[in-house]
Amino acid sequence: MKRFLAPLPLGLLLALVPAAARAHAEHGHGGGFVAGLLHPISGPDHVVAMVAVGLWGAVLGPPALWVLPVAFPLVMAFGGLLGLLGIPIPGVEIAIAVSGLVLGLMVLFEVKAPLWLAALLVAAFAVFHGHAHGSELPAGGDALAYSLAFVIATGLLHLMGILLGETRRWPGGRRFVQAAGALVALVGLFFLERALA
Amino acid sequence: MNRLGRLNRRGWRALAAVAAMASLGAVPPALAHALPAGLGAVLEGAAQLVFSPADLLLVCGLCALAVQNGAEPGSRLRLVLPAAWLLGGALGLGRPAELATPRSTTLAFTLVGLLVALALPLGQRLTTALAGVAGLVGGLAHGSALAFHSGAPLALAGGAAAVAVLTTALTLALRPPHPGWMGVGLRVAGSWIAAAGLLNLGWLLKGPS
Repeated sequence: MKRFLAPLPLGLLLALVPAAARAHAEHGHGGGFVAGLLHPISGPDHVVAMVAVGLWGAVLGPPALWVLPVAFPLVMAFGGLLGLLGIPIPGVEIAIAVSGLVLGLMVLFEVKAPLWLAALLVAAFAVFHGHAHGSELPAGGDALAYSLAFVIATGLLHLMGILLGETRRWPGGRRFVQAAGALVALVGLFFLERALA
Repeated sequence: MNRLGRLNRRGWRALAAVAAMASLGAVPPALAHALPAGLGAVLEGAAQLVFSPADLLLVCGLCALAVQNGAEPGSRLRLVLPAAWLLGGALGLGRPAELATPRSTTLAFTLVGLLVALALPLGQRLTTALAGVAGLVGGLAHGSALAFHSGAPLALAGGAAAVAVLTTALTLALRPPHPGWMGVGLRVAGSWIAAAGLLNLGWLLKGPS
């Protein structure tokens, strides 16, 4: 019985995907589930930071492996709430670039920070990421479907980072993860230079 | 059974004719704000749950919260949540649409998602009480949205039945004891539900622009 019901949550999740006609999709307006799913992957500075959270979680191992991906969406949504309400936070773009740089360096040098420090650091960065997204979220459309998809996409980016980080168990995997961290740091550095320019 | 067995062909035809007439008499009225799918009030009420992400997230979140706290709260939820939903809906039917605000449901599932993400050991009583209150909130919003529609009680019954089916399926599928990965998965799902709720709340507070 339990085995037959196991795929049920996934089925329910898929039921949230609306099969709306898109003959006259209006660009610039908030869409539904699909638009929300695409939003977090539209900016490379965000993408590398999300993946880096998962990578660092894998480097730190349990419980950080799942604490960071649980903490990040919650705090990011809080930042998004501030952004949606128009409450300003200074230096958002700089902080986002710094997040990529710092998290990349953490992965590159395999920094084994204590859990509280790692969670605090990731949560602090999450506020800025959330605020940037919240300020950019378009009006209209199905807000809840959009929000849910947005959060799921962010979580899937974390999962991608975790899966990449788990390659450390294989021969040569450690070097691969460090290289991925270096790449994230370089992307962060690039965006930091642009933000400061 | 014996009487039914003794019915001849004419008797069966008469019975079928009476049933057909009765079903014609039970044609569901149009529901202005329900899903006009032509399925009838009961099924449209049930479909309302599936097509309402806020209600769906609330029910899923409550199921996750219950199974996190053991097998017994899951069993209780199967009874308490549909009953509370029905009761809240019945109360909401007597009200105009003033209670059908998305904020109350959003707040409810955000809080439930947060509790799931934190995986706090709440105990059986508190979990059941929370489920009851959340079910009342969800039912109130649902009933209030249907207020003054002539087929509303049937639609509400359909909605409560859908809640019962979903709750039963989910609590059985996620029945403890959980493997480690499922416990983590529940917490991650809770954080996603809470995060989506926070963002939606921001959107609702911001208002249309």
